[in-house]
Amino acid sequence: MNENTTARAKRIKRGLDSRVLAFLSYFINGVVALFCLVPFIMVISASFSSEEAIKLNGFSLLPQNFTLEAYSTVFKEPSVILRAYGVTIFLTIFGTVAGLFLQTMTAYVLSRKEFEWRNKFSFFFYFTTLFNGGLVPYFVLMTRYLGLKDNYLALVLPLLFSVYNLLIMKSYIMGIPESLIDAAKIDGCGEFGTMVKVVMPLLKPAMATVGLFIALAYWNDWYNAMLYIGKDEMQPLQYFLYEQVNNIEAYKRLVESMGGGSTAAVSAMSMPTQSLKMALTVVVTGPIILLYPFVQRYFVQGITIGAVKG
Amino acid sequence: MKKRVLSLIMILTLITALFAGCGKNGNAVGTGKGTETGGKDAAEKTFNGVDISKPVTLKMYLLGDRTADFDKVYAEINKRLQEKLNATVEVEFLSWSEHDKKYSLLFSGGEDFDLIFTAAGWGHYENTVAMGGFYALTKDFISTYAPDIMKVVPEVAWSQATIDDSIYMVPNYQNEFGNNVVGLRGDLLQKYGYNDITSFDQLLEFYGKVAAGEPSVSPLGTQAGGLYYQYLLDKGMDTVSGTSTKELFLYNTVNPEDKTITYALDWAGFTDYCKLAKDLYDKGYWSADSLATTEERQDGFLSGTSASLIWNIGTTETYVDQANKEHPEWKAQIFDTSPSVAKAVNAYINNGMAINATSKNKERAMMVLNEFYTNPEIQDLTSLGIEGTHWKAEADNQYSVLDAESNYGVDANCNWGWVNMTIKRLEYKANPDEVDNKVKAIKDSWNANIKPEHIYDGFTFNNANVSSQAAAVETVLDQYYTPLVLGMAGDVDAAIAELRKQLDNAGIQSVYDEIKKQAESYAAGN
Repeated sequence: MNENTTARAKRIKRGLDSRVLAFLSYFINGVVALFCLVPFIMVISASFSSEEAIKLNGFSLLPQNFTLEAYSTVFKEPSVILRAYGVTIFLTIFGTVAGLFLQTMTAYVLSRKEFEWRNKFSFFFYFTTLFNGGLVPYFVLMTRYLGLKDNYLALVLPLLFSVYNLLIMKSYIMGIPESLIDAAKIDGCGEFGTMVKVVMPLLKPAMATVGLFIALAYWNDWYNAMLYIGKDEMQPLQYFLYEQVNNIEAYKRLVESMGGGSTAAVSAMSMPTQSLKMALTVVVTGPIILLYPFVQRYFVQGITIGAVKG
Repeated sequence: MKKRVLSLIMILTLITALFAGCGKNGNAVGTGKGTETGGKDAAEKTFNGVDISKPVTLKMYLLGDRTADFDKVYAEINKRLQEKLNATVEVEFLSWSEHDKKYSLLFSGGEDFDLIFTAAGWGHYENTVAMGGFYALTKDFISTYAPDIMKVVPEVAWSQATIDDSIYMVPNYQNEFGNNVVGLRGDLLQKYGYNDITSFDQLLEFYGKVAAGEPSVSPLGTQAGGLYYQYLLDKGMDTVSGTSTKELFLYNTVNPEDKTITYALDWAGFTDYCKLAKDLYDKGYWSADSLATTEERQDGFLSGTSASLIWNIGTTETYVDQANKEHPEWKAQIFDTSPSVAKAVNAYINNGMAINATSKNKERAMMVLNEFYTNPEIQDLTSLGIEGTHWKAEADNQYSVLDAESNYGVDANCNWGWVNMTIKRLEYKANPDEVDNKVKAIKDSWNANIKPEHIYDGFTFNNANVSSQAAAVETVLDQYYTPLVLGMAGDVDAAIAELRKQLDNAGIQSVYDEIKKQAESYAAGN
């Protein structure tokens, strides 16, 4: 909506029918939005509930027997978790910037008609989504040939490039009028300059979308950390928390199988698990949710409004 | 413009190269190469007549996570190993989250290490043997480099560890009983005039009184599934282990001569149980939630809504203790409902240690295992930690815990592969209560009457050849079988007939044939 239309809307006196329609659509949207919120509210509530209450009554909208036990378990050693946070934030920022730049550049090149081999290259990229060597060769390549064990590059490189994002980007760039690029050339702009100064500003919505995908991929990645990171101090947040939950569950299983009645067994059984999982969910999703409002406006923005007239 | 971009790219590549360089240098860990220990004269050292003058560092992989004091304890262990064997161990952990994926990668990825924890079934033993990851241990090799292990581990454990005529692991040695016992509310037993529960029928009788007389307590709560296993135990039957067939295939475990595998629907005992279950369910012995409950097994018992808990003896003891701590008036106690039936010992290969086929120090690795396994000092260190810091020695080779923070824990450091019950310490109880005494009495009675091994105890059915039928069978079971054994399927005879028809359609016959074929060849090969 630009200013013209909103101003006009104010001047026209709305009839009853459109008011009913507006009310209905707001109402329905509002209800659906509420439904989307409910599970998340339940997660937050459960993270503040006591383990016994969850077992007995299941999850609820309000915390039962309010307690911070789960969070105190998560933040048992705050320095460790903060470092894991730091690793994840660094990886996400660095990976998103580098990945977004590389993927946009590749998509731009593949979309240019002057590039003779663009179809061959596109096929080459696409081919990798259909066939790969499997886990073992990949693992051997990463550890033995590239020597990326316990190296942050092992967490950055695998996610730097996503063919799926490339396709989104490419189809988006296809929508940009060629005349714009020609105009830039005539004005004496180099290839790289054309991309950065002319094309990229028009790609904001697509870059926001793809950037968000990349950021989420880095934020949520635990698999690469599992394979290549052995040192505790190098672990990103997701994997660190994943291990915590698994350790508690494994420990409980262990105590069950190892014979009970021992002093160690009884204390192990009282560790929180359900509420702990919920607390971890809150800890993990919190920061990334804050990212959404910032990129939100680019999604809504128009693309080439006022760029090419007539 | 162009130049600037080019130089930018150059710089980026340089930085990347630098980083990659770091990585390459960063993981040069000196394993398997004899790292010289400073200043020690390589005097002629021998172990059992074998020359061990070259000092080595062995890399060992364990499962789980590194406890706070782990390195401290292993420094102590290394001191002793260094002195005796001129070797030290360096431990890496595969955490619970990663071992499923990474275990096989260690072998296929050519990781350089010497020793690793393994276990049949859950600990990747069979798969790793199949991919040729473990070194085959000959009897000669074991008795040369680990003479004391040879004296401890019983023949039956070696035969369990045998795959295609070779042994690939040193199994642990302890008698763990896998069967269940029943934890019951002592106050209710008293109320209805029972001192003891000594048979399955008596248990049902007591359940009946609870169901009739206690409005707020249900005999089994939401956990009716365990009762069928107590019934099978009582009848001396056991299930063929394997996936997706639940309790459909049984064998007579108390008679080693009897090598038939029975299809449950052809076994009169199954029909009897289903009729019994229907009768009990109708009388309110358990709730309808048993079909799909979110509760854990112990929840009902601990919260007082269920009068019993059916689980293995260790876990039952843990929860009975917890219940008594929270509700002393309950006087919960543990009962063996089939005392006359001999109990089976869990396979010794449930925990063990193996040597990497590509290890450069197989002999020394075996010697180190020998120490872990048979040196009481090291057994104590690995299982309990450092004496005086983590635990205190008590009379008769017992211990009591000092480690209040659980910085090392008890049996929490993947020392399960070399547990040796002939030298392992037991926990000292200052004032043993009734539950402790009862557990000890039950265990003693079991140990005095261990069930002779049945050839099928170690057999696991592999459904790879009939996977589609097995999957179809699984869906049928969920829909028709589970309600039946929980007594919720209405007319029993009709429900069994329906189950039989559905299973026939799903291809149960080919699954049954495959099981019989595999069991026969397994029995012939061992």
